[in-house]
Amino acid sequence: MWIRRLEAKDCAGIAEAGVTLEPGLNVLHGPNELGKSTLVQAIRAALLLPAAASAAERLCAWGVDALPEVTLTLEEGPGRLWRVRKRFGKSGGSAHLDFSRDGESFSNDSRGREVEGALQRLLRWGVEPPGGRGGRRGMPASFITTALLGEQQAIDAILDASLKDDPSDSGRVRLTEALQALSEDPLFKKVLASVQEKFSEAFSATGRRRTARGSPWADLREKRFAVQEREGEARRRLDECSTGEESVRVREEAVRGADTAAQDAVRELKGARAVEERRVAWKQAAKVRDEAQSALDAAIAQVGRRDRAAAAESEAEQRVDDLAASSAKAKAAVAEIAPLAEAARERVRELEAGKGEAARKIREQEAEQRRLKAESGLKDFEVAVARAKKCADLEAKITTAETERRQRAEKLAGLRSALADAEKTLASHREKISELELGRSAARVLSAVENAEAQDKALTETKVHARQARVLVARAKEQRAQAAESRAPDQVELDRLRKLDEERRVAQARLAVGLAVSFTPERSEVVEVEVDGEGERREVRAGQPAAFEAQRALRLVIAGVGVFEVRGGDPEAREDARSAVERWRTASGPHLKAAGEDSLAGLENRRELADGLLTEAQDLDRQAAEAKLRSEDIEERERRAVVAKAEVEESRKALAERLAAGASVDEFLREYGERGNAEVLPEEIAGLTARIRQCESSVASMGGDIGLGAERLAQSERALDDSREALRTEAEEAGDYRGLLDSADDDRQRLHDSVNAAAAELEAIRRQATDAATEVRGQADELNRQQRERVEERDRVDERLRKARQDFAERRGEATTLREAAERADVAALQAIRDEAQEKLDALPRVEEPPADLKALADRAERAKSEADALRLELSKERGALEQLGGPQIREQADQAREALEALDRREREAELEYGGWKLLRETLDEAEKEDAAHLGDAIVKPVGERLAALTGGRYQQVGIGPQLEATGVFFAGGERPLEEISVGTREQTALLLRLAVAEALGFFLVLDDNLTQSDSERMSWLRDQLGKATDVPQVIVMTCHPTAYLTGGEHAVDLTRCITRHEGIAPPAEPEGGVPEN
Amino acid sequence: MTRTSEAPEENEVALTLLHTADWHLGRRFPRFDDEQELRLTRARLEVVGRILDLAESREVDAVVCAGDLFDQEAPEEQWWRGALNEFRRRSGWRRPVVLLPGNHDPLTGRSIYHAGHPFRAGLPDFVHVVDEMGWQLPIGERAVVVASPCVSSAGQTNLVESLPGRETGDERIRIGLIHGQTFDIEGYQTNFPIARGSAASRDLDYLAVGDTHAFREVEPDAVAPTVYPGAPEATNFKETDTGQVALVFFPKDRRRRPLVRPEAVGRWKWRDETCRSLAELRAVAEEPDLEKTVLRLALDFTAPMAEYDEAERLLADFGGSLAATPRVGVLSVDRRGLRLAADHSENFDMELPAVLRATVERLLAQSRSEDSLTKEMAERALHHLYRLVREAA
Repeated sequence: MWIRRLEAKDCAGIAEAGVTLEPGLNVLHGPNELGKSTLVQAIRAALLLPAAASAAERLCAWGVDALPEVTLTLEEGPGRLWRVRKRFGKSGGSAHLDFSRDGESFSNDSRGREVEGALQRLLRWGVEPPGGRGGRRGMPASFITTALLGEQQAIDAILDASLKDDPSDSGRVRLTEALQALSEDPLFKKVLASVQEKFSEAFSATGRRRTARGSPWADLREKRFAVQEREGEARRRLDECSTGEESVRVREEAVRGADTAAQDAVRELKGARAVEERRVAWKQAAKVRDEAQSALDAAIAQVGRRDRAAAAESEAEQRVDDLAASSAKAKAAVAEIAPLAEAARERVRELEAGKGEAARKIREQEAEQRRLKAESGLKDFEVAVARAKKCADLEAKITTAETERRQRAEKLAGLRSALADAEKTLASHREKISELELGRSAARVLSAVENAEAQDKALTETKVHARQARVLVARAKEQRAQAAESRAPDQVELDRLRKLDEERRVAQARLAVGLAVSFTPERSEVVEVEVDGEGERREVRAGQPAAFEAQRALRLVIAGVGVFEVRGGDPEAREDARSAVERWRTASGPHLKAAGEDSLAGLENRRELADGLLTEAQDLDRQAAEAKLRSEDIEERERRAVVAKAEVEESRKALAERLAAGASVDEFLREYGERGNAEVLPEEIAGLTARIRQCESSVASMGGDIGLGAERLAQSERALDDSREALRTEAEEAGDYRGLLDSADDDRQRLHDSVNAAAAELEAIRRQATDAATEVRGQADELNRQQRERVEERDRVDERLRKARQDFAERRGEATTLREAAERADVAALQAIRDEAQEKLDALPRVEEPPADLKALADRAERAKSEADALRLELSKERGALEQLGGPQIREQADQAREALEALDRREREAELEYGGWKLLRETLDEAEKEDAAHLGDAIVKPVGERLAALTGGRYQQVGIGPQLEATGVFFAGGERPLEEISVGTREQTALLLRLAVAEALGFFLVLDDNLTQSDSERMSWLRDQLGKATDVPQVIVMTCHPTAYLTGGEHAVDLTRCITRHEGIAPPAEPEGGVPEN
Repeated sequence: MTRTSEAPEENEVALTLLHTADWHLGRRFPRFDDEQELRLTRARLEVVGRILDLAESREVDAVVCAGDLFDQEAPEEQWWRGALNEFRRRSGWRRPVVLLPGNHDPLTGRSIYHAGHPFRAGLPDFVHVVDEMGWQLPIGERAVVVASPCVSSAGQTNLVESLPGRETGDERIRIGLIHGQTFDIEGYQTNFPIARGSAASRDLDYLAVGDTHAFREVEPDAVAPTVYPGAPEATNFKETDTGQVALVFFPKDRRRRPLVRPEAVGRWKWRDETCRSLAELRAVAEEPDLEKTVLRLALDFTAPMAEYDEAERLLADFGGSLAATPRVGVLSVDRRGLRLAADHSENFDMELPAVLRATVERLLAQSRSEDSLTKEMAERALHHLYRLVREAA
């Protein structure tokens, strides 16, 4: 750091002063009392003294009511200029610290009280900022202030100074840092450089991990990000898979439980149904047995009737045969007696030709008529009896037919009742199957709706992810666009710019050798001066030397004379600087212009901002990738959603077709849903359908039986009607045939008695004939009687034969009917059927009571099965989903991701150890180096000692300097001697050499206020040469009233008489505090 | 029918089959760094070419690939494109190659086997994809391949049951092609289980299966062999009997059992090594073919600085650098067991400036720390310093 310009106003005796300085040796000369020491005081005050400090009173103008003002412009390095402006005074004082890159335009950095703190941070001279309690009064002092700004009256104060007396540690730290470079071993330097290089790969200067691309941590971070993302995804999918498996396991358990419950319920239902079936079976078997028994009994009765009818038929036939034989015999007897009787009757007729005979014949005829009448009545009676018997027979036949008809009607009614039951069962089954089909349709609709909702939800989620992905991508794009708009160079380019900037600054610093031009014009005029690129116009007075100073370059434009240019540094350094500046401009120009920035710091800020934006963009990209990944199968989702909706419509349509016309599908589904979303198994419906088919078969079979039974019943009824009609016809002729039959025997006896009486009367009349006649008549009568008897017998026999034949015909008809019926009734088969039915009945356990609440059991079993089916459906869905997830692969991927994470952990640990080792090595090297450098004297002894030896011609070989840079003595004559033992001049020269070494180490300006007053001309000359050659010191400012001792050419000489305007006629105050500066 | 398993004479062979599976193209190995991972992933593609070359040189009648040819159902283009190129390179081929989707690359709408996928669309005519249950392909007039693909990543279906049975009068050699897990693999969750006796149940002469990465014949005593050819290149350190395909010779005499012979095609070896001394590490370094080895190396010994440094240099040699090809194809080093004998007198026997000597002393002090991290880091730092000083010297 060096001073470019010093301006003072109203300081002690100086009314106004302005001195432009340059790098290198500046010789400011002027006579005593001109104000040289005041200028040094002004520099000290500007840099060290607060504006309101009491110590500033020393600067106050003598006898002038104005506050002293000092402006000091410092160049810290190329492009970094500071300007301190202070006006001292407890009231009205002010302080400003301004910054500039070009020395022309300054911006305020701090003001007021902040200025001191900012300055101390900038200088780090070991001086405490003002404001602390117990702070020292007066001008702040430290080892460095003593070395760089030593006061005139304490030329060798540096020899008594020590770092340990510094109020602040900053000076010691700065000196330590500066002096370390002087003492480094080449091997150490090489090692340190290599360590630093490795260290810098991974860490920033402050020891923080580098995060920029290319650093090992960034690579690992990126890798970790990718691996963690993959591992997270794998873990998420594994969790999903495990959850799915757990869910499947739970569902399997639930299904097993539900199956067990369903099986129990079904078992219980089956048990109850078995009981019921046994009961029904037994009942049906008993009924079958009873029916078989009835059929058998009827058949046996029929056979009995047939046998009886056959016997009767046989008897009747026999009777006919017998009667036919009797009839033939009677007819033969009649034929035999008829001629005898006719001959007797002829003889009688001959005999009865007399009167008495005539009267007897009349009586005989009358008796004969009565007898005939009685016989006729008997005949009519027998005919009536026969008709009455026929009626009775018909009546019995009707009774039998009625019994048979009733039995057939009962059987038919039974069949019809069974048919009705079967039809009822069939209807019930059909109703049930309809309900089941409806339920299944409803369940399908609900399942389809649920699936459609799930697909819709999945589609919506997928769309949301897709939308998120687009939004995130857009945001990432915006962030990248913003990053691009910042037009910040990338990290590599920025590093290159930093390097170029550093090269430029170093190259320019090498030019800062300090330039001074003195010019005495012949006439007063205004010249244009450009000091280190900073131009100004300045008036020069005729005959008065004008001094111009600069660090690197000075350009004077004198109208009418020409242009003078002075540049610092050797040609190579200038070329290097020009080249470095050119490289810097070439490299940075496009970036600065593009970014609208004027400095590297601005570009760095923009890079940092852009990096932040890019990091955010990467984060957004990652989020977008995640969202995009989740939305990848959107087309499949859409297709599934469409298919699911179509399935809903289809299932609804199917349900609507099943529902009654006008019934609402939604209402049914709501009701169905409230009852429970049970789904009916097809097997259940199939079972029911089979039962329906069985029922239908039974109904059809029973319908056939009923038809046959009805036909038989009709036959019975027709036969009954015929019998009734015959009875009615016979009864009409027979009259009260039952009464007739009841009194038939009595009536017959009575009629026989009448016939016998008439015959007796006739016999008596005939017995009245003469003897001859009587005999004849008797013979005739006998023959007639025999003939009648024979005729009667014949007639009776014929009548009996007719009756017998009629009876036989009837018997035969009846027997034929019964035989036919009996032939149809297979008794053996019926007996076998009855026996089989009995066996079946015997084989069945007898269950009288029906099981309790069969319907409740059926409902419970149905519910349990439905629940199991629903759970099975869920299980099937979850298994399907799990199969799509793919358990083994997920585990493999999770294992891979975990292994990758473990490998990355190892790599990170390895990197931490590797670079941690480098960091530890660097830190340990630092510590060791610091410890080594703690003896600061060791580092500075060499330059001071060598110069002292050269100065004294080897008399003094070395100077003793302690750890805190306190001078302890000089070595000569084989030992160290206290400084007090050497001459004042040598002390003064030793002090100067020490100060020069400190300034060299620090790279700060050095102000020498009338030093070397005790030195001889030879040493003076040698020392002046040293000051001129001290290129490591950016600036040496010598205040002297003996310019000839310093002005040898090459230095920047300033004639202070031309720069300082003093207050006229004002004497210094009588007793200024702290002594009056000697000028 | 009783069959014998004696090797048939060449002129007695009715049909020769190359059976392979589990290529796992596009498989990632994230445990390794990117370059090594890519090397292994590429190796899986390279072996495909060798398998097809073998099929050509042995003049097999057909090649059947029993699933998991790709590691995912939709691998990146570079992997399916590579496989496609291998097939298309053999444009003159007539022998059929049958590709079966496995559980890693199931036949789904997103699958590369889907009809609309450019991989499927680009396959030459001799390559056939099993894309339905009970799929069949006659191999000339003598044989037929019957197969069913995996259509999901996981499942509990025995896919053999979906294969068609032998029709009456069909006397051809029947080759079943299925991907799944046989009944006797312990410690594995069964996926697409294949029941014992499946080959016989479908009257197959040979059941070609894929899934397990080791070569194994599942039922050696069965009439019809059921064989896993294993992965042609291993996928991890635990796998054994990998790197092979199965050559199957069907004798003309149908009473004889087909002969199954493993044939090596893989190049890479996966090794686990623990070196308990520098000598053992040197011995490993002397071994040939390390460039085709996936080496998981653990170091477990304490060495003075010179040996420690040599171990480090050997490891660097194994791993390669920007300027040197790695000696080991794929390397994973666990060096937690490598410790520095910090107190060894010859660790830093060279002359050092005071600052460096002080640095060494400080680091040695830290290397004796109880804290393992501090200790290890100090050892590393000491080794760094050692190397730098040696290099500078």
